[in-house]
Order: sequence, then C-alpha cells, then structure tokens
Amino acid sequence: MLKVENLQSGYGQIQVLRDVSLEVKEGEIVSLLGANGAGKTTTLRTISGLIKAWSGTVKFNDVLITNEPPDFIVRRGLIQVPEGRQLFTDMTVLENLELGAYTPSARKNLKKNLEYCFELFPILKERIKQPVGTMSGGQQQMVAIARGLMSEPKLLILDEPSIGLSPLLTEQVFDTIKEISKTGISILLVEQNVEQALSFSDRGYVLENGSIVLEGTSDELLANEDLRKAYLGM
Amino acid sequence: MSLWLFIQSLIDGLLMGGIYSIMAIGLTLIFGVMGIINFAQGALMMLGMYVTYWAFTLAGIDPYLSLPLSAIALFILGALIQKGVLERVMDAPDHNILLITFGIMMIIENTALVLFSPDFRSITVPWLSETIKMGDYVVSKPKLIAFFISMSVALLLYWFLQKSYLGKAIRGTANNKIGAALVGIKSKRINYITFGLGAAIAAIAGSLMTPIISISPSIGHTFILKTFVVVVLGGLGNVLGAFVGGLIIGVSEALAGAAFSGTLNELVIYVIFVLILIFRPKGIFGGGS
Repeated sequence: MLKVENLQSGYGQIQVLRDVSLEVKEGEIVSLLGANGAGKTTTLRTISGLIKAWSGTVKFNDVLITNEPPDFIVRRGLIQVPEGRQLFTDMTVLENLELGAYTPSARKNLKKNLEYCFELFPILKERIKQPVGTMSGGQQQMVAIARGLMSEPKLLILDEPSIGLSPLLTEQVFDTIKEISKTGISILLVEQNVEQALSFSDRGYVLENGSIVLEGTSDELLANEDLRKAYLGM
Repeated sequence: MSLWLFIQSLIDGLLMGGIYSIMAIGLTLIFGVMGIINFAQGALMMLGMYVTYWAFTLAGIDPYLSLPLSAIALFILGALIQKGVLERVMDAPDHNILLITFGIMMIIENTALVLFSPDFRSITVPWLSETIKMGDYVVSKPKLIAFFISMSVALLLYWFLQKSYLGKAIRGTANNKIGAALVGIKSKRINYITFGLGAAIAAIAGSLMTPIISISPSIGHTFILKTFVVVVLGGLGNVLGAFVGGLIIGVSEALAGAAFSGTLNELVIYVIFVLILIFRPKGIFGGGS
C-alpha cells in the first residue's frame, strides 16, 4: 500500500536520506528503526509532504504522492502522528479531535469516530474540555493518536509514540496500536526502542546515516548478530 | 482635572478605544496565523473610509449601510493580496515580509493619492450631527454607534473563532502549523481567509470612522502606529489582548489629552509603548491565541 523507492531528501543543502526504499503492505505492522539522527523522522516528513523529496518516488495505493502537499496526502488516508505530537496545545481535547476530522470524508463520520476514540481512551472523554497543553505526556500521546484516528487512516504512521513515557504507559500505547491494527489499519512505526518494536511488528527496516542497512521479518532482525550488537547491546 | 472632565474623557476614550480594539484584532489575527506584521493594515482601513465616503457622496448611501459593502470589498482585496503577493514569499525571512507589506502600503496609498487627490474630505450626515446628552455628559452619536458596532464585530469574530469549524481550523493553524498540515488543513486557504478577514475588519473600522474625522490617503499612518501599540500591549497574536488593549489605549489617550495639552496625548501613548517593550515585551496578557 505504501511504496517508497530510492528516496533522497534533506534540509537546505544538507542531504539526509540516501536512496531509502521501503514498503508497507495492506494490514501489516512495519517498524522503521535506527539511532538518533539516522533519518527516521526525515523519512516520515518526506512521505507526508512536509519537506520536499530531492528524487525518488512515494506511492500510496498506486497513486504517486511524491511532493504533493500534505492535505492531498491526508485525504488519501495516509496519516501521521508526528514527532513531538504537534498538537493544538492551546485548544481543548475535543477541538483537537474535531480538527483531526478535517477532511470531508472524515467529517461525515466525526461522531462515530469520536465514540471509537473515547472507547479506546476513556480518559479523554473525561477530559474533553481540558486544554491539551495542560495534560501529561502520556495523555497528550493519547490525544495525538486519537487525532490521527479521527482522520480515518488507511495507513497510520507513528513517530516514536513511546518517547518520554513510563514503561507501563509505553506498554499501554503499544497495546492500543495493536488494537488499532486489528481494525484493518496498516501501521508504520518509528522507534528507537528496537526490541519492543520488533516484538510486535511483522517486518522491520534499520536506518543508518540516511540509508536502509538491514531489512527483514521481525524474527530475522531479532536474530541478526549486527543488530543485536548495535541496538540491543548483546 | 475635575471629576466631570475625567468622566467625560473616560467616555470619549472608551468609545474611540472600540475602534482601536477591532483594528488591533485584525492585525493580531494576521500575525497569529501567519506571523506577518501587516504594515498595510492602516492603508486598508483608509480604503474602507473611501468606500463609505464615495458611497455617501455619489449615491447618498448612509455610512452604516455601506459598511457591508466596504467589508466585502476589502475582504476580497485582502484575500487577493495574500494569494497574489504574500503567499509567494511566506518562506522568506520576517524582515523581508515586513518590507513587502510596507511596499503594499505605499502602493495602496499612492494609488489613492492619484485617484482621490491628497485633499482632506469629510461627510456631513444630518441625522448624526446632533450629540446625545446623558445628564451632564455629552456623547457624539457616530462615536457611540462606532463603539457598539465595533463591540459586535469583536464578539462575532470571537464566536466565529471559538465555535465554527473554520474558526477552529484558523486557531489550529495559528497554534501549530505542522499539526494543521498533518490533519489536512490547507494552509494557503486559511491564510487568504485570515488576511481577508483582517482587511475586512480594518475596512469596518475605517467606515465607522468616516463620519467622525476628515479622511485623506495618508490617514492610515496615525492609526497603524496606534494599532501597533495596542497589539504589543495585548501580546502579539492575542485576540483577547488586542480587544482589551484597544480600550486601554483609547482611555489613556483621552485622559492624557484632558490632563495635559491636546498634543501631549500622542506622546503618552508612545511612552506607554516604550515602557511595555522594556518591562512586558510579551504584552500584559502574553502572546498566543
């Protein structure tokens, strides 16, 4: 469903991505792994149209979306829960979720999707009127994921959803992602937490200095000597 | 200063403050959403004045009836300025955009000079000429009407931003650009609607001022400077701050005019401006929406 081929991009004169190719198939959970500064977030930003690709292509459900504006990409059902969450912190939980349903098709199902989000995160229903900026990190992450779900994703991209969360909360977030995936939404998960990410995804890619250096099923990657040495310290 | 003079000045200042409030709301809205400091806001106000002036002079249309015309005309012009000019330079450094809005101001003013001549013009509307007496105090009719319409515009805008879906999208864009892009909000569309709204509000302020003062193509200067003071006082990008700031500056100006000589009131305003910049650079209410 998502097919990235030979993607190159960066900021200003500085190239970050060199020939990144990856794929997410219908219904899969795929992890994109790598250390800080490896280019994970840059890859996601280029896919979502936040920064321009220098060359290469991004196809989503066979539609070429390379360098299309973000709203074009969102309307096709490719939704990103970005690094740093990028929530509307001055606005309430409800307003954040309402704006998640900005595309015309998502707006039609706003009420139904809102119910689903509250089912997934009951705490958000209690805090409906609270300004998001005053919430804890874990609750903000819930708002971020819920806002993404309000957009009716076909593919949900999550950029380090566990960052800054306690182990317990991290586990909850991962459980929720699994639940979301069961409804038929494909997931591309970016993580530094290699073991946890691989333990629950189907396949994975490892990014280093802007290039994919390893790819395979999660079991293959977990068994890989180099990966174990580099990321798991074993 | 006698108590009478104090209260009379308070009334006058509050009424003028309403106009300053909406001028500042227009400016601060554009800044909050796009980060653009719009120097042309005063020139747009001036155009609103001329719409009302010509509608009255040529067609005998009452100044308050030409208000919607003035607002719609300037909304369209504002949206076109954003779409045609500013959208192309949104990624440029701030000072470049500042120079461009300054340039737009010069173009509008000089076009107005050519078309309308530098003459000062004013309109005399018979039913507005008498003042209203409230006990010992006198209130000018057009100022009172201007105040109430300004307050209504401010309330309407507040309702629009808080309750309507488009208003929420505008606030969302002001709050977090990346977040807005990732929920599918078309920033370009939000930008030209916002600039159009800002221009329309300036036009309303201009139309409301037309029965009160003499107008000329360069009349925008005094207003844009005062508007900057109000916006800084309320916190850049803060709509509520702009509203309250406008009333504060209106009252300060009138009280200073009463306490000192008439020419010193401007000085007082800019002294306030400098003091805010030194002691409360984020405004009395802080920035943000």
